[in-house]
Amino acid sequence: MISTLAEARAHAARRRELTHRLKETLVERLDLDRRTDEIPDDCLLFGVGLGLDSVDALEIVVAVESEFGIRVEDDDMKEIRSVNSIVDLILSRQTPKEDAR
Amino acid sequence: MTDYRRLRTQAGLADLQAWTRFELVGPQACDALDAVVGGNVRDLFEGRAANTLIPSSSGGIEAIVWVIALPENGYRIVGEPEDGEAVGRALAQSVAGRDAAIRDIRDETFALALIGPEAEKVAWKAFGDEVHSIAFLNVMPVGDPAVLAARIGYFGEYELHLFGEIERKQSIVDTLGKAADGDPLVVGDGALPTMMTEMGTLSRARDVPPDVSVFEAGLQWMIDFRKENLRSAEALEHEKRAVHRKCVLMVVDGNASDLRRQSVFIEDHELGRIQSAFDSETLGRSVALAYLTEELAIPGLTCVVGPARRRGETVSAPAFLGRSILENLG
Repeated sequence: MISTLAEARAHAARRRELTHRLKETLVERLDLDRRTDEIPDDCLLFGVGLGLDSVDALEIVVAVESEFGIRVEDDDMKEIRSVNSIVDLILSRQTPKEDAR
Repeated sequence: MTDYRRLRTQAGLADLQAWTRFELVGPQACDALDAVVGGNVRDLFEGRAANTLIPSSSGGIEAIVWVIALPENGYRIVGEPEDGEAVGRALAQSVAGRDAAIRDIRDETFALALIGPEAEKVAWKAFGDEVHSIAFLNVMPVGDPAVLAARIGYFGEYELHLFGEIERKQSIVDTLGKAADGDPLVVGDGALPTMMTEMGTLSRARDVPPDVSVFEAGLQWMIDFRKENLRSAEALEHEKRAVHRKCVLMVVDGNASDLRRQSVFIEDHELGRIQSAFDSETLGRSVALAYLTEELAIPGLTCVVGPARRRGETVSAPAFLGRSILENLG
């Protein structure tokens, strides 16, 4: 639970770095015609939002696994819905040491 | 059963008669519309719908709209009830000098939304197999005589929005009522703001104050920044570099009745304020949209809200996945 200002700032810095890396990864791997600052953190990836499809979903899984060193299981697919939800997934799987690489 | 519960677990029919509806036709209708909305209308093919917005001159939001591409250079523009004047004014200015015509069709057409995990089944019984071929963001006529059916969405469940001549409204309501096997189908619109907020779907009128930019609202995905004719392009470019706060979804203990405008704190540091809040039956808590300082506008924080220091958390949108979505995921 993050409930002090110092913890919140540390969490925000870590999360911001992960979010930026994820957006860069999505833009590069999916060849998106957008800059990272044109993708809101809560932007949905499929349908409305970025308008991605099921083929893109598989590419996202591969990209997240290789870029962030986590394993994405079938049950995790429901978390692949927005930049924020993927960052939530990465944070839940990464140890601070892994994230620092 | 509450309307909310019906819409989240079965099917309900909401009357969206008051919602803004314009029709734009003519050889230069595409040019006229593309110059007004942030999305790229030139890439919108007949039978498709897109969610976009009309940027204000200061880089804010005049209206959030759905644009539906119809045959023969025709478009339907659908928006919130409060935005009719702004949408009409922007379209009228753009149509001037072009070979295109705009018409306010709110009074001469109906707008109904069939919503819920069982809604597709009800639509199928009413209109036949063709309902199953309407993918999300697709639009096609259904029934005989036909009404326009659009798979657009606000509430995180299966939604089929139906448009037709106002004289046919009651017969469509009756047809859908019979297809629901006698279950009460018509719901009020009271549950809709709650459902939108749970999904993190913003209402321009309710959730976006006039001084909030497209980027602070998190709606820049609705804009194609590579368009040469992008309305308010200079102001948008400026606002992109001037984000001081961001809209964040929150879940807060207790009921929502007195949460609006309440300050959000971590320790004694004020992060921002709640913009809108509703009681969520699904969560058993309140869902709220808040504008928080950019530095800390992220999910995963535990905060206190208001003088009663109620516990709240910032969360990723949506606050949960609707049953329609979960069943679709298998």
